[in-house]
Amino acid sequence: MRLTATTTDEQIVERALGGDREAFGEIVRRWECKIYALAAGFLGSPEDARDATQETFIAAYRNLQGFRGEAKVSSWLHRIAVNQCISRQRRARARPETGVEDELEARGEGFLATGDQASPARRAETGERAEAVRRAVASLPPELREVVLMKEFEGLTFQEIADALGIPLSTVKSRLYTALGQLRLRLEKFRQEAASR
Amino acid sequence: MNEQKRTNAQGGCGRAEDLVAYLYGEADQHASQDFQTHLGACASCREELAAFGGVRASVAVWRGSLLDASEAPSLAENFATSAPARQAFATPAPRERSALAALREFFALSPLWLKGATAAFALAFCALAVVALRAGVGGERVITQVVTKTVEVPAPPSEEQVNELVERRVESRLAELAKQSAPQRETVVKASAPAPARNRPRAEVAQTGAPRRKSPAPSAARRNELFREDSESLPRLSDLLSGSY
Repeated sequence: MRLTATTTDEQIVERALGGDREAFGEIVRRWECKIYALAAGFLGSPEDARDATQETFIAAYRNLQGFRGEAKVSSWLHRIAVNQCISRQRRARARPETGVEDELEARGEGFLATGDQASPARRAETGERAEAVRRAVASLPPELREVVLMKEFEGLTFQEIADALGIPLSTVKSRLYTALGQLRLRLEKFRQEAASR
Repeated sequence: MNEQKRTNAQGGCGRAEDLVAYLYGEADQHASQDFQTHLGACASCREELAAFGGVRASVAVWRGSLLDASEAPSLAENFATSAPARQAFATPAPRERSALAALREFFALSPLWLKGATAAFALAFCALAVVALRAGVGGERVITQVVTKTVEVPAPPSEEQVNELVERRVESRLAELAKQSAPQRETVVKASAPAPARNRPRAEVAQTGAPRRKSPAPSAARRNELFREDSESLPRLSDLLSGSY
């Protein structure tokens, strides 16, 4: 059977389990951007995001047998990605001299790099705003952050997030509401600080 | 603090979930119309909805800057060619396979020396199995014989047989004792009647060799002869007891 756009993720996984090594490559191609976006939002560093994305797909491949088709492949992948990101953050925090945020600030680079086609003023404005959001998201508790990233970065539905995280639908909504409220407060605070400078 | 969290989670008017569903366009038509009606009357929800929209716009800017950093497009190539990914994909995805398929794969992937060693081991195992099988058949015969012999051993006597045997032994023993005790009784009777012996005339006593205690011990034949003579001359115990003597 040839892989087409209409072939579902579950069918592709079934083929991968049957020994088709190319099939899992299709899963990677389909989901790598979204998983990368999730990891980038979670970790803040492109390098860490790339590593976490790679680790996510490797872990998924190694645990392909554990996928029983009860949830969507996307939910399953996101769950693995969130776990990978949380593990990486814990490891980074265990090294006090190389905290994620400190590392980014010391390098003065990272995810804020924008296209060369933007004007310097525009880049500065976008960069400042994005940095404020990054800091605000980074300060959220993990259970709120993962919900925001899955919704905003990947566009998953509430039900898909609930399936991926194994929590009730209402919990997804309430967490998202709380997260948006906290982001709002933090962004306002950053805005006031920037205005006072 | 907890109160603030609770208020944050429930929203100013307790319709937090409806607000979020409306914000992300996931409310169904009826819920959406219902919340729109509510927005017309609730300033708090209107203000919150506008603020959350601003937050989402800021997050979108961040997302755009993050994904425009030209990392994601190169990920596919990087991932496919990265060393950890190649290492992971070098082996097929683990799956429950049949034993035959696993064996085939094992032999397909094994080096030549491992195949040879496995074959030699398999042959040795088969040879041992045959030997063990033969030994097992012989051993079964031996066991059969042993069992046969064991069956031939007489069964232990029953309680009745034991009782009968004991009775027979007891009777025979009693008979022997009775035979032995009969002469002894007569001897006892003779020994327990000293008075008449003492009252006998001294000549008679001398004739019979009395008193016996002082004489040397006679032989068995002589003793029987003397006993017969004495028993003929002595009164019987029954006569003494009845007083007819």
